[in-house]
Amino acid sequence: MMSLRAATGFVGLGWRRGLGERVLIAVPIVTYALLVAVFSSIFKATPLDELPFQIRVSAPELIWYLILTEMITFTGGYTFQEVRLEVLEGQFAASLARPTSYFAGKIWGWLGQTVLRVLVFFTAGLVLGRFLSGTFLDWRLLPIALVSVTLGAFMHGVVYFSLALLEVWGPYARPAMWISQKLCFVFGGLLLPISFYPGWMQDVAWLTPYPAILNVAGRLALAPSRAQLFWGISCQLFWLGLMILLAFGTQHYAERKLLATGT
Amino acid sequence: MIVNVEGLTKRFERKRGPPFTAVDAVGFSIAAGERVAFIGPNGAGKSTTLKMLTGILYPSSGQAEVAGFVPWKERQRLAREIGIVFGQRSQLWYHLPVRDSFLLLSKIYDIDPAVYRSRLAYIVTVLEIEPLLGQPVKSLSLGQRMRCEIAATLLHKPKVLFLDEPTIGLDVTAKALLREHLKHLADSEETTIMLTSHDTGDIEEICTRVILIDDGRILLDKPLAELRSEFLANKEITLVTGEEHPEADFDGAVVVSRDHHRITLSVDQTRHPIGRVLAGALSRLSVRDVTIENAPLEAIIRNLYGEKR
Repeated sequence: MMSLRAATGFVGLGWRRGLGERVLIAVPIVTYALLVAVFSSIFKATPLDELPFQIRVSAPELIWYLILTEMITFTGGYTFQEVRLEVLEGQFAASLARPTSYFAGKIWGWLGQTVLRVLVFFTAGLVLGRFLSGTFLDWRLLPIALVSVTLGAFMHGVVYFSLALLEVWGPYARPAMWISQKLCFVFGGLLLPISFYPGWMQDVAWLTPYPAILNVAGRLALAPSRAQLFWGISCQLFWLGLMILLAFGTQHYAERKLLATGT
Repeated sequence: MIVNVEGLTKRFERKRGPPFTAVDAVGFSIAAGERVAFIGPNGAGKSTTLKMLTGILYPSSGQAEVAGFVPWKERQRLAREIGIVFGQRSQLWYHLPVRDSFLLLSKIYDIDPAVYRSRLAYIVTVLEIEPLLGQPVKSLSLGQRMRCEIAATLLHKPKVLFLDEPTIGLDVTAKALLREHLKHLADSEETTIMLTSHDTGDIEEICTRVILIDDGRILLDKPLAELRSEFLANKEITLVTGEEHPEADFDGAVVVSRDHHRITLSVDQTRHPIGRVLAGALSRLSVRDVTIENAPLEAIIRNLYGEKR
């Protein structure tokens, strides 16, 4: 178990690291803004009322949905390359000689870094959303949106951690990451809410962690009921817990492999 | 004994062919405060042994105890009692100032803040790294980074320090400085050191005992001084003379090199007492200066490899 002092130390490390990455954050923010701007033009140009199926969602709502889901992919996806490189360069193996778990250190560090990134992107997202949609997200939902985006981004990072550790067994991390990215795009509902999908596809999607990563936060833009809010956050916490367990499990087996073979 | 190793063996399974034995029934003990060089050619089993002793590699068989812990069973508890420096791997956070890395390490090792402050002040003074504390690790030179790595390893006052090629890639000045610091710290704190290095200077300057390993087996385990006296039958005498290109034919001495006013002789002490050779030289040449040196440790090790194989 990691002591509280060490955990706060790692959170501080992540926070300071985030502060030191001002340029690295600026570039994704510009990309994020461009991406959302392009899709918001498409949403605005699409005659939603004339679609052959009823979706009951307006263009501004779709823009806000995208603002939130894209925010998660931009704030939580940086962990994969970091962990994969540390496996390849031997830092993961060297970390075995420390009195703390590698994942525990990472998870607390990411918490600090992710919170900072979310705060930056959230602020940018609010300005961008107002500018592109002409509306504003219900202010009562802002704190929940902040929590939900943070949970989604954090879960995104935890999933990537497990995938990056596959590198310990061979060059499997990148293909696995590629597949996961595509699944997240579809089942997470990156561009459109998964409630637009056919029923069977929605059922399949909810069996994966991806809707908890993206769709739950995005749905806050679609005037959710209290029950939907509660269900959404519960769903995120459930999947986050499961993904953390999976990450600890992956780390356990990766360590066992390293301890037995040395490579 | 702070390190006890008995019959330690590591076999690696291979996809094709029989298993490869990297370390074969190795056994030795190290007393607290001893400074041991663990040497051998590439692939001899040095790093594999070191990994097993630090708990980051399971052995196939055998026993070991380091600072009272079985490394592979109590890895995280052992980590609080030992320090490890891998010459080519950093334990510092690349993008952070050195001070921040140290502070985080103090939290990881659960060092009391007051103890940490005084410990840091001491280490910073000894290793002369005060000006480096505010700099990001990525901006340090290799020599500066290695001093910071050593400082990071010493923060929790480890009982045993494992150094794997600590001076690799450093220039002559940085090496000398690092060796001096390490020796000072080990002397003042009675830290046990186990060092692997291909640089005989590291062994000579830091260690008092040598364990030679090759093909996974220990070939020799001796105090450095004993090793020198046993394997240093030859001494080198350099004479600075008044004569130009001094000519001399001394009984029992072989001319190694000759210059304008300088001649270097190699003397086998077991056959010819050095005093007699020197007396002969003094009587025949106008000698202005004399230097008597042991053969370099590198030569001894080279001989040892050849002899023991």
